[in-house]
Amino acid sequence: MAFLRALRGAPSTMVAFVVLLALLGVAVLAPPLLGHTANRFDFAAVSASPSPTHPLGTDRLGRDLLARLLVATRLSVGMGLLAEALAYLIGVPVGTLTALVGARWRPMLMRVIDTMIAFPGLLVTIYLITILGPRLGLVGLAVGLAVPEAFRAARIVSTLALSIAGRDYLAAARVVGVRWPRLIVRYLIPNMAETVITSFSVGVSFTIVAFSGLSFLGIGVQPPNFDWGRLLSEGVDSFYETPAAALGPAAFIAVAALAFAYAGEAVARAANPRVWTAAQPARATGRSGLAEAVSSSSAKSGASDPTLLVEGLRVRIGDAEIVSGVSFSIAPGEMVGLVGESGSGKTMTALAIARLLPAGAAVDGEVRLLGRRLAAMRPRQLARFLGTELAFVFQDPMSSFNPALTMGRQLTEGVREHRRLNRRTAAEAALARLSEVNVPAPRRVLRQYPHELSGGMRQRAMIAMGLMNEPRLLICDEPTTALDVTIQAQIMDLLARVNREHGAAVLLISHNLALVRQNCSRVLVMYAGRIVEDLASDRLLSDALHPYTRSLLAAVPDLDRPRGTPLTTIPGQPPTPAAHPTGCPFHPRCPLAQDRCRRELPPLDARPGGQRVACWMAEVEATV
Amino acid sequence: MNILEVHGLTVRYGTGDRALTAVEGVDLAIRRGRTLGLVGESGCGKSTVARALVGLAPVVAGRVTLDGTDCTSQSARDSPRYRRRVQMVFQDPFSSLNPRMSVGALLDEALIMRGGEFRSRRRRAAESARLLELVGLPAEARSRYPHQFSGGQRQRIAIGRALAVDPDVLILDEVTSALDVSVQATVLNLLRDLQRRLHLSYLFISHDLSVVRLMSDEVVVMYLGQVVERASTEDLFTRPAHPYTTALLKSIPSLHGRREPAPLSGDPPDPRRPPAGCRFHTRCPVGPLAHPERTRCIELAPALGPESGPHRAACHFAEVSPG
Repeated sequence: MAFLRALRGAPSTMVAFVVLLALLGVAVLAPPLLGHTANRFDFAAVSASPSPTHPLGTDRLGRDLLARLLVATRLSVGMGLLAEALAYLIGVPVGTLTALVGARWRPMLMRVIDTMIAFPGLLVTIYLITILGPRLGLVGLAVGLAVPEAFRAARIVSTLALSIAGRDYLAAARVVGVRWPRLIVRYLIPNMAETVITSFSVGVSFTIVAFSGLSFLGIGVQPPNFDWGRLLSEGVDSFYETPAAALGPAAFIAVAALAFAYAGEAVARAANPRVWTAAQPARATGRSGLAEAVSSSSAKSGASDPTLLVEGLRVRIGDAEIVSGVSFSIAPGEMVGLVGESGSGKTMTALAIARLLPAGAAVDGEVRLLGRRLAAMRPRQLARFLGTELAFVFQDPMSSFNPALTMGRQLTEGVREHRRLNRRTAAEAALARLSEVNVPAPRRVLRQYPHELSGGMRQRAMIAMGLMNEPRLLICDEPTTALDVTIQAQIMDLLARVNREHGAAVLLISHNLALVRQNCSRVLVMYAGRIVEDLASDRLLSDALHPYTRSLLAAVPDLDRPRGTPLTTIPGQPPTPAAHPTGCPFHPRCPLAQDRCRRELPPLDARPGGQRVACWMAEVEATV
Repeated sequence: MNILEVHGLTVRYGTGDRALTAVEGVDLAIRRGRTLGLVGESGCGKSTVARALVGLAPVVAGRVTLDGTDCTSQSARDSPRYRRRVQMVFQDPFSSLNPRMSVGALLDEALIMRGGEFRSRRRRAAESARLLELVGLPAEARSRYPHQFSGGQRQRIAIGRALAVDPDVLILDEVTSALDVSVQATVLNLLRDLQRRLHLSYLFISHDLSVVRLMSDEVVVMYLGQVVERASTEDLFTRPAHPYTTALLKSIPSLHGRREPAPLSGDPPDPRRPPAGCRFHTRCPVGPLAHPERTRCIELAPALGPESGPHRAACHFAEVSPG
C-alpha cells in the first residue's frame, strides 16, 4: 500500500517504529509471562549486582529488576496512551466545535480554553490525582493526566479548524451542497490530521514522562502497583550499590518518549496524500547535454559599457536547473522587459543577479554590474556595492517590508548603513524620495507601519526605498501584479519617470506582454530557463520569430481582438525544471517542430536589427 | 428571458462602527444562456455579489429571484434545490479543491447531491468519467489528487465539479486570474464551449476588462459596492459613459498603441467610509477635482439612469449615447 510505503523513511524513523513495536510487544507480553518473576521475593539475593540470573540485579526485597522493568512497561506506556486518547477524545470535538459555533459564542469558548491552559498542567494533574486518586485508582490518574492535555488539544484543534474553515475548498464544498457532518469528517479532520497526529504523539511522550515523574515523587502509582517512575525512585535510593536499578528505568523512559515523538511525526507525514502519491508524471525524459549552445556573442550595446551584463547565467536548485545559460545586457538608462510564464525562470534570473537566491541554489556564469564582476568581490564589498548600485522591487510590497518596523526605519536603514548618514539627514532624504514618488503626506507615512498603507502606497514606498541610494539598476519583479489596473498605470508612470529622470536602468519582469511592450524598449522572452527571443518592443507584434513568442501574443485577450474568435492556445504544458526535453525545450508544443528541433538545442542567434532568436525554424519563419 | 435576477442587493458584514457594507443596492439580471460580465477593482464588492448569490454572504436587503421564484432568504440560497441550479467556480484552483480528496471523490461527492439514479455507485463512476471528458481531462484523473495537476487542469476539475450537479447558472469568480496567459486561453475557450453545449448562463466576474470583453454579452461595472455602469459589451467598450469605466479602459496596457499616462490619481477610498454623493468624486477626472463648480457630485448620489435604457451610467455628467 502506498500509505505504508510512505511510512518508510529515514533510518531514524525505522528505528523509532522498531522500538515502538518492541515496547508495545513488551507491554502486552511481559505481565503474563514475567508477572510472577517480577513479584517473587528472593531474600538470598537482596540488592544484588547484575549477574546472569538477574541481568539488572535485584531490589532490596530480592525481586528481579529486569522483570520488573519489563512488566512496568504496560502501565507506563498504557497510561501514556490512555490519558492522551482520553484527552483527544474530548479535545478534538471541543476544538472543532469552537471553530464552528459562529462568531457569537467562539470568543467565550476560546476564553475558557485559554484560561484552562494558563494553569500549569502538572499542577492541575496533581490536584486532580489528589482528589480522584484514592477513589478511582489508576482511572483517576488517567483522568488527571488527560484533563490539561485535553485543553491543549482543544486549543490546537480550534486554531487549525478555524483556519481550514476559511479556506476556499470548504466554501466550494458548501456551494456544491455538502453538509456539516461530512464537512467535518472529510474536510476538517483530514486536513488537520498531520498536526493533530504529531501533537498526539508528542503528547504521549510528554504524558509518559509526566506520569513517571509523578510516580517518582510518590504521587503517582501506589504500591503494590509499579511503573517506570516508581522503579526509578526505588533505584535512585540504592544508586551507589546497584546503579543499573536506576539507569534501567531512566533509559526506558527516555527511549519510549523519543520513539513516540519520532514515530508520530512519520505517521503524520504519511497521512498527507502529497507524500504517498507521485507528483505530476514527467513527460519528457533526458536532459540537454549541450546547453553551451547559447551563443556567447551577446548583444552589444553600442559604445558605452552596459549597466548590467549577464553571460551564461545558470541557477541550479538540487537536481533541477531553473536557469540554463541566460545572456543579456542592459544599457545605461534602458528599460528592458523580461517576460515569461510561471516557471520560466524569470524571477530566479533576477534573484541571481541581485545575489538574493535561497540557500542551496548553485549559481554559475558571469554577472557584471557597472563593469564589475560580482563573483570576484568579497562578501562585504559585494553587499555594499549591491546595496548602493542596485535596487530590487518585489511583487508583493506587503511581504517585502518588515511588518514590525515603521516605514521611516526601513527607508533610512540602507543609507544609514551604506552612506553613514545620521538619522536626521537620512529622514530628510526619505521625505524627499517619498514626495518624489507621489506619496501624499510623506511625513505621516514615515511614522506608519507597512500594514497601515494601501497596496499602491506600499509599492511606491518600495520604489522610494530603492531610490534612496541613487542606484544605477532597478530590478522590478512583477511590481504591479498585485495591484489594480488604475494603480498599475500610476506605478508604471512612476517607473518611467524614475527611468528618465534618474537615468537608472530598469529590468522589468512581468508575465504581462502588453505591459512590457508599452513600457520597455526591449523585450526578452524566457521559456524553460532560457531566453528564446530578444527584440525591440515596437517590433514585437510584427517581427517576433519564435513560435513561443507568437503563440503567447496570440493568447493575449487584447481589447483590439475580434470578440467571436476563440483564443489561440498552446497545447501541452511547460516542462518542469527537473525534466527538460532534449533539443529545443519548446519542441513538444511547437507547431513547426522538425526532427532537428527534437535533437539539437537551438542557439540564441543574433539577427539583423539587434534581434536574437533561439529557433531552428527562424530562418523559414522570417522568409514567410 | 432572465434566469437569475438581483434587485437592490445589499450585503453587510459586522455591525456598528466596524460594519462594512460591501455591496449596496446592486441590480443584476443574468439572461438565460448568456454571460453577464461583472468588472471592478479589488474591494468593489464583485466577489461579495458572487458569494451572496451562492449563500456564502449574508443578504441584508434586496431580492434574489431564480426563474421568477424568490430565493432571497438564507435558507432558500442554502437549499439543495437552489444549489443544484446555481453553482460557483472560485478564483484559485490551488485552494478551492480539498487536497485530501481524490478527483473521483470530489466529483462523487457532488454527484451524490443529485440523488435519484446517482445513488448507484456505478452510475456515478460513469457520470464522473463523462464530466472529466467534458472538461478535457482523461478518465484516469479520477484516482489522482489535486496537487498532481497543473493550475489549468485544477481549474478544469473545479469546473467539472460545479457541473456535476447539472446546474443552469455558473458564477465564475476570477476563474483565470491565477493562471498564465496561455492556460487562461484554454480555460476561457472551454467555458465558451461548455456554455454553447450545455446552454449555461454565466455571471463572469473579473478585474480584467479584456477578458470580460471576450466572454460577456452584457457588462456591469462596479465601484465601491455600487453599480456605476451597465451596457451591452459592444457599447461599453466602444462608448463608455461613466468616467470610471473610461479610466479603467485607458489603464489597461495594450499590445497595440502607445502607453497613456495614468488616467486616475489617488487610491480608492476606504469602503467602510465611502465618500458622500457620488462615490467616485474623490478620483473623478470630470468631477469636482477638475471642475470645482460641479458640487452636485458631492451632494447627490447619481442614479443609474433610466430603468428602461439598455445603456445606463450612474453619473451626473455622463454622456450616454441614446440607443
